[in-house]
Amino acid sequence: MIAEEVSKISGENPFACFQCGDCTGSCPVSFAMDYGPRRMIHLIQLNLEEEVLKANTHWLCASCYNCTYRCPRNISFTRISYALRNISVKRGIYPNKTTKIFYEIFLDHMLKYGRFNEGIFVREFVAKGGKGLKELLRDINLGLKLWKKGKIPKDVDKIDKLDQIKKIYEACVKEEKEDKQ
Amino acid sequence: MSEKEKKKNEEIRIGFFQCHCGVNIAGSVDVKEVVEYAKKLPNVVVAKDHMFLCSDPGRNLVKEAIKKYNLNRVVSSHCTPSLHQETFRTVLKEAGLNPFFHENVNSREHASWVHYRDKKKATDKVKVLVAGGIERVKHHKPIGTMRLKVKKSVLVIGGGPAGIQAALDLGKAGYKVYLVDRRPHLGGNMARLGKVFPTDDCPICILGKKFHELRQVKEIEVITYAEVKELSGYVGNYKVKIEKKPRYVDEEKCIGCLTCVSKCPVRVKSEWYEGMDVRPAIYINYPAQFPRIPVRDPEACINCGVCKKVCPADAIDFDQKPETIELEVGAIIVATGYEEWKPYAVEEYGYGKYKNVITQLELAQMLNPEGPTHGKPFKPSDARYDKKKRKLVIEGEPPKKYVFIHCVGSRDEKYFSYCSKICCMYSIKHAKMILMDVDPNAEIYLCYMDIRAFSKGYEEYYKQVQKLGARIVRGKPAEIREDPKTKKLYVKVEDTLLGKPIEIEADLVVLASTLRPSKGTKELADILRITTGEDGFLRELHPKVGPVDTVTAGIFIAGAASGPKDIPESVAQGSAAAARAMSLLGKGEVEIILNKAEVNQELCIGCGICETLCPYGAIKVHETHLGRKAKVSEVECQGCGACAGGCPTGAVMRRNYELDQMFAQIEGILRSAKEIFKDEPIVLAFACKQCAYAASEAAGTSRLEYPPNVFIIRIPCSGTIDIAHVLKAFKEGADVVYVGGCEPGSCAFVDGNLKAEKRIQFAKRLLDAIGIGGDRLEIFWIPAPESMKFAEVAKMMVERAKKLGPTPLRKAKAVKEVI
Amino acid sequence: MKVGYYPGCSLKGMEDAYSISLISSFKVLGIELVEIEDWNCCGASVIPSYDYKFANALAARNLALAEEQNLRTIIAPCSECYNRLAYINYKMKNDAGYMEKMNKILSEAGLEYRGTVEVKHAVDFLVNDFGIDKIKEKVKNPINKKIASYYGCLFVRPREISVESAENPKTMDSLVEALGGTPVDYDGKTKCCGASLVVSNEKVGLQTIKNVLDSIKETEAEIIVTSCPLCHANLDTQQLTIEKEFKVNYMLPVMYFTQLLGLALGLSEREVALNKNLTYEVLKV
Repeated sequence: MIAEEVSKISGENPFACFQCGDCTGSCPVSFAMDYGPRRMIHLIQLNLEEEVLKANTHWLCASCYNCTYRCPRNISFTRISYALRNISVKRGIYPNKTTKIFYEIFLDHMLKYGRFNEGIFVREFVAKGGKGLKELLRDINLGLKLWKKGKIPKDVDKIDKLDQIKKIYEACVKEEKEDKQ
Repeated sequence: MSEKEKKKNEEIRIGFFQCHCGVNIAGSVDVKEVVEYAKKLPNVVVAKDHMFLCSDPGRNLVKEAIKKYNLNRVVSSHCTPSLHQETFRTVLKEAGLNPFFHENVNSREHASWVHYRDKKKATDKVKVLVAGGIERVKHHKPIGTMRLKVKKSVLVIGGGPAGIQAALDLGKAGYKVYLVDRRPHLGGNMARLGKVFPTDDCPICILGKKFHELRQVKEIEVITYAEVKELSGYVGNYKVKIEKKPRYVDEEKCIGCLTCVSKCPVRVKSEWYEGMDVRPAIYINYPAQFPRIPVRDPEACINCGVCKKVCPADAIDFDQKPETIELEVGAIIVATGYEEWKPYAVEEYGYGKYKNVITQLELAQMLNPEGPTHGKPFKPSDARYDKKKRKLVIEGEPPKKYVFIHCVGSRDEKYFSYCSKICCMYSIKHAKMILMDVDPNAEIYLCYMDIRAFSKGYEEYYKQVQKLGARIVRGKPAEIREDPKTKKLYVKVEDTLLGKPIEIEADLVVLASTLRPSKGTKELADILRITTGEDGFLRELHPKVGPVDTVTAGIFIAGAASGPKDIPESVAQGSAAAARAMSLLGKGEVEIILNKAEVNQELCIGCGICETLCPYGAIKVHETHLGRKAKVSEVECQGCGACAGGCPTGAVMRRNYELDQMFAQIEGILRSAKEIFKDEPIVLAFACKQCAYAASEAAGTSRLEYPPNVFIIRIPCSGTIDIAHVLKAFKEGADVVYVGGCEPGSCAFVDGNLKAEKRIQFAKRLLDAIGIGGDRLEIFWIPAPESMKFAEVAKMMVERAKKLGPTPLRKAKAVKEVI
Repeated sequence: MKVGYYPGCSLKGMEDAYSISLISSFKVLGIELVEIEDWNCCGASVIPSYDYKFANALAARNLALAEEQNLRTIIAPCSECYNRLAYINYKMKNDAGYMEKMNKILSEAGLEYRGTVEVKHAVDFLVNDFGIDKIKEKVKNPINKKIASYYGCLFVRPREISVESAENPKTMDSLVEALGGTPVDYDGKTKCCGASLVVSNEKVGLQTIKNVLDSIKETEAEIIVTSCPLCHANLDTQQLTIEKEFKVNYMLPVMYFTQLLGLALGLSEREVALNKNLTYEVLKV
C-alpha cells in the first residue's frame, strides 16, 4: 500500500490530514502542480497508487517546507514528496528526461567524488541533453559571462575516504532489501 | 502459613464475575477461559460471566450468588472502576456486605480495547489482572461512613450566564448564595455582544431580565470587583477568603446617576471594548450594567477631583482600601468562563501587524449597538482619536469586503489542538448581522475547515446566512498580505472544493480566534484544589457522567470554564451545577465514606513524618496516654495516602490501599504473570487515578495499542506510592516498574507527585546499590488527556525491559525478605 | 575565536564568492574557520529524492567527522547544507531510536556519532553568537542603502531547525542595520525561489524566482542580500535569464551578506569577490 510505504520512508502520517488546504495555499509551486499537496495527501489516504505516482506534484515540490511549517496537523508534505520520489525512482519513474539526467549525474558524483562538482555537472548535463537547443542558444552569453568571471571551476573536488560513502550506500541498499523480505 | 492464617483464608469465600460488555470485552477476550481460570484460584467459590453485568439481571446475578454461595468477597471484571466500581459496591451493600469487600478488575480499558488485535494476549492479561484482584480482595476490610452537617450556602464564582443561572436556581430554592465576580459588574463576556445566536436577541435584554431576578431573590448576595484568595475546610463546610478591590465609589451611597462619569476629563483605551473605544478614568463598562456603580481606575486618574465635586451622593472615596470578606459555604460553583486568545503568534495572518486584521471579539465590539460606532463596522486604519472631541473618529469608507477566517489557533497542533466550538456560529452570526443590519451588499467570505452548527436551531441559522449571500469557502487561508498604501488585504487560500488557490481582496479580515480559559483559571484551580486539563480548562470529574463535578467533593464547575461553550449550554450547566450543589446540601448533612488515612496506634512511634507530608494538616501527632501518637482528622483527610507512603513503620495507612492489600495485588499479578507470560518481560505500573490511570482509560477509549505485558495498579495519587511497593514488585519478579503521576503543579492533592518523585529517586539509588539497577524504575508525568503519552511510555518501558533482560530476582529460587 | 566550518559543494564550486567573502570578513572579526576534514556533500535535495535514508546517513557522516575532529560548533553557510545537517542533528539528538538506526549504518564505515556537535547557519552564528554590537564597533564604511534581506526557506524552516519565526525573520535585517543599511520589509522574505527547480523544470523554476524578484521590485530596495548559494544563483545568475524570458527589467544587484559585511568592515571589492556576481555591473550603473 502506497500510504504505508510513504509513512515508512518519510516518518509522516498522511492519515492525520483533515484537508484544510493550508499546504496548497502556502505552496509557492502549486500553480504548476496537477494536484497540489492537499489532494496528493488525500490520494495517498485512499491508497490510489497509480494516480499518486502519475502526478507531477511531488516532483515540483521545491522542498521549501512552507507547508510543513504551517500544517495544523504537523504533517510534512515536503518529506512525503521525498518519499514519493524514492518510490518512483526505484520503479524507474521520472517526470521528465531532464530530472533523470540531473539525478543520475548527482548520484554519480556522490559515489565517484563524495561531492557535487558543479563545473563537471554543467558539461555532463549539456552533453547528456539536459538542456534543449533553444535554451542552450539563449544561455550561450550567460555561459560566457560565467566563464569570464571565473565561476566555472576546472579542478575535480574529491574526498579521501570514498570507501566510507560506498559502505554507507551499500548498508542502506542492504537494509532496504532486508526490509522488503 | 500459620494455622490462624489458614483458618482465616478458609473462611474467605470469593465470587468472581466477568462481564462481556456486549462485544466490547467478549469480542477480544475469551471470557469463558477467564472464568475457568478464576474458578481454579484459591478461595473462589463461584465464577460466572454475563453479557451486561451492570444491567439489572447482571447485578441480580451477583446479588443472588452472594446469598446462594454465602460469599463474603466479590471480584467483578468489566470496565474501569471510575464507571462501575460504585455500582457493584452498592450491590454488595444491598446484599448485606460492606461495599469495600469488592474489587474491580479493569478488563475493558486495560485489555480488550487496547489489545484487540490479539485475543490470546488480551485474555492472558485479563487472567493476570484477575489473579491480582482475587489475591487483593482477600485482604479487604470493611470501611465505614460518617455523617457530617453541612452549610446550606453556596459560593458562585463568575457572574456570566452560567454563574447567574446557578445563583438564581439556588437562591430561589432557598439556599444562601454569594455571587462573586472579579469585574466591577456582572454579565461576563455575554454582555459584550450585540446579538446572541440562534435567536438573535439582544444579550442585554436577556441579562437585564436576569439582573432584575437577582435583585428580587433576597438569598442572593452579589459581590463584584472581588476575587477568591484562599480556601480551607472541606465538603459542606468550606471557608473562603475573598478580596474585594477598592472601587473608590461607595456602593451603598452611589445612586448610579453617572454624573462623575460624564464629567471626568480623562480618556484611556477601554478594555471592555477591546481597545476600540475610549473611556474616562471613572467609568462604567456598559449602560445596563449591574450593579450600576462606576469604578475609578487609579492608574488613569489624574486626581483632579472633579468627580468628587459633582457627586450628589458624596459617594466618591479615594481612600478606599482592599477589603477581605470571609464566607462559610457548603459548596462552590466555579463559572469563570473564557477569554479570547490574541493570535499574534499566527504571524502569517498579520494580527498586530496589519491594522485591518482583527478578531471576532473585536468585530463584536464594532457591531455592538453600545460600542464605539454604535454597531457600524469600520477599518481600524481609518480610526483616529480626536483629542478635542474626546472620542474616536472614523475617516474613510466603511468596509465593503470582509474575509472571516475560522479556526485560528484552534484545531492546530502548533497552538491548541481542541476545537473552540462556538466560532463557526459566531462567525456566521456576525456575517448575518452585517448583511441584515449594516450593508446587504457587503461581500463576506467565510473561510472554514468544517462548519460545526451542531445544536438545536443552528443548522437553520447557517442556512439563513447562506441565503443572505455570504460566500462560503472551504479552506484554511495560508497567508495575508497588505498593500501598504491602500491598506487593502489579500488573503491567499486554497478553495479546497474548487481545488485551486485563490486570492481574496478584503477591507477587513476577521479571525475567529481560540477561546482560552479566562486569565487566572489555573491559580484559582490551585486555590480550590481542583484540576485543569492539558488544554488549560478546568477538568470535570468525568466528561460524560460527571460533567459539572470536580475531583474535590462539593466543588462544581459550570459554563466555559471547563471548555468552550455557547450560552444555551452554559445556562444548562449553571442549572446542572446548582442541582448538584442542592443534592449535596439538601438534607443538611452528607455521608462521607471513610476511605481515608488511619493510624495503627500500636505501631506508631510518634516521629511526625506523616504530619510533614500531609498537605491539609489532617494528620497530627498528639500526646496520648501511650506517648506521642499520630491521629487523623477524618473530615479533613482527602485520602491521598501521602502520609502512608512515607511512614517508616507502616503504622499510618490509607484504608483500602493498605500495605498488605497492595502487596497481595502485586504478588497476585506477578505470580500469575510469570506463569502465563513466561519469558516475556513483565512491567508493573502504578498509576494515579487522577492522571495516568485516566490516561490509560482514554487510551482504551481511543483503542491505542501498547504491549499486553504492562500491568497497571490504580492508586489514589502518585504520592500514595511507598518504596515498599516498589521493592515488593521487584521481589516478586517485575522487570521494570514505573509510576505515573500528574504534572508538577497539577496534583489534585497539592504535591503528592513531587513526594512520589523524591521516593522514586531514592529507590532508584537503592536499586543501583543492591544490584537490580535504578534504570528499572521510573516516574513519568502523564496528564489525564495524554492517552498517546500513556501508550508511548508503556511501549518504551517494555522496550527497556527487553533491553535490560530479566531481573536477577526473577529466576531466583528464593529472595531475601526486603521488607 | 575558532569555529568549525562546513563549506558545502557550491562554495567550493560556482559560488566560491560566498566562501571567499565569508573567510575574509570573518577574519576581520577575528573568527577563524576550521574546515571539517574530508567532509562530503550533504545530499542537497537530490539524494533525499533518490534514497531518503542514504541522504540522512550522508549528513550524519559529516556530523560524525566533526565530532571526531573535536569541532563543537560547525557553521554551514549554505542554507541547503545547514538544513540537511541541522535537521539530522536534531533528529538524532532527540530520537534515541533514530540515533541508533543511523549509527548502525555509520558503523559500516567505521564511524559513530554521539550527538555532541551543534550546527549553525553563518547568519545565526554572526548575529546571535558573535553579536551585533561587536560587529557595529568594527564597521568602517557604513553601507547607506535600502537593503532587502532575502532569507529563502531552508534557514528558517522547518520549525525544528529555525532560530526564529519563518513568517517574519529578523536576523539578517538586524545585521543590515548594524552595517549602516536600511532594512526593507516585504512579503517575499521567505518565499521560495524554487531551489533546483530551475534545473529539473526550468519553466516553473524561472517563474518562482520571478515571483520573489517581483515582490522585491515593489519595494524601494537598492540591494538584495542573500545567505544561500542556491538563492543567490537564482536571484543573481538567473535574473538575466528571467529578464530575457519574461521581457522584464529588474536591475537589482544581488550580493551575499558576507560581501556586504566585508565591504562595511573596510575590505575591497576584490577581497570579497564582488565582481563574481552577475549583477555586479548593475551595481555600478
